[in-house]
Amino acid sequence: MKKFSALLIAALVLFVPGANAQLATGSSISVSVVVNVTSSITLSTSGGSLNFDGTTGTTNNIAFATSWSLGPTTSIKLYTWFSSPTAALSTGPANIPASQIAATFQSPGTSGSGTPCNQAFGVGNGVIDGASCSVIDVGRGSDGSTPNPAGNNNGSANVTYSLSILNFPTYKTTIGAGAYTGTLSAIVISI
Amino acid sequence: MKILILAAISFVGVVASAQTVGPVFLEGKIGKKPFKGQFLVENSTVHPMPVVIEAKQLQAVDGKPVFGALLPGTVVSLKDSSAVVSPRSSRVFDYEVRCEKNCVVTFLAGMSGGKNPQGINIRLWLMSSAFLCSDSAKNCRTRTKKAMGLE
Repeated sequence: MKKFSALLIAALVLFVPGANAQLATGSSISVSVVVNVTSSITLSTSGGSLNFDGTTGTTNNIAFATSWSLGPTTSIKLYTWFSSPTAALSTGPANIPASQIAATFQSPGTSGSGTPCNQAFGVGNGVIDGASCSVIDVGRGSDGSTPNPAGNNNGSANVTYSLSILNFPTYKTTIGAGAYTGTLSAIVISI
Repeated sequence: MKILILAAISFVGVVASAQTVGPVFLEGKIGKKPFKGQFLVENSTVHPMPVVIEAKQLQAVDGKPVFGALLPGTVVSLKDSSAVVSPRSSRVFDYEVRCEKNCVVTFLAGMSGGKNPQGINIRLWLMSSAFLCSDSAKNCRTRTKKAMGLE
């Protein structure tokens, strides 16, 4: 009988709801997840938002900052593109096509301006053909050096970046007034 | 004190967004079971960072790399295709890949690089690629790139 009573008490302690609740609230499990990150790329923007000046048709400068810690590779490139070739920027039904916009950029090893953002690199990865601005070779150093295909590659590059509407004095007379908005995407690709 | 406050505000305003993804490359062997891999997305900002993940497959077209849709015979299972990474924190994404032959599957991590209702929104993407070979994981990336003519 004593044995039965002890078992009954033990069962009550184990299975009454209060006992479970107490166990749950009193427990704290710390789980550490370790991922072996042997290579990495960082991409960030700074300098605020890109806004067009209504009198000049150019935006302020922003910066894309990228840094990498990679093994052997042959290229590290930054692609930027709009969501649509025909409607890079829109306000209501009015659109500005990507071909009317150009990026001006300056990285340690390369620079460019005036090329319309209607390039088609055929690289995929969401980079839209016909809505891409010039590709920026961020892996190229100021001395013209390129990534090491046989060794480790650790580095960084800051890219000063702005946009302009081509032939703005003439073009602005053909589009309606409004706040034109759109999305510019950026990706660093290294394989 | 005023200068200090202004400096602090300026600093917060300058760094809009930043993400790190790693590993950028992972090598594995195709086996009977799907290849299990993972990558990490780090949010170094002080704001929560929504992240979406997309899977692509690398092909070589005329000696150029093209990251397109998954090819027939490639099956990717992604545990989470989106998440919100807490400020100054990181998130691990687990995946499984099954390929019938050598393949390169790339996971794109996309996040907002700053919203601007009066102008241009910026979206940032980074990638983590799994190079899978049927014979051995060793030097799979180098061998695959060479076979694709991408070296």
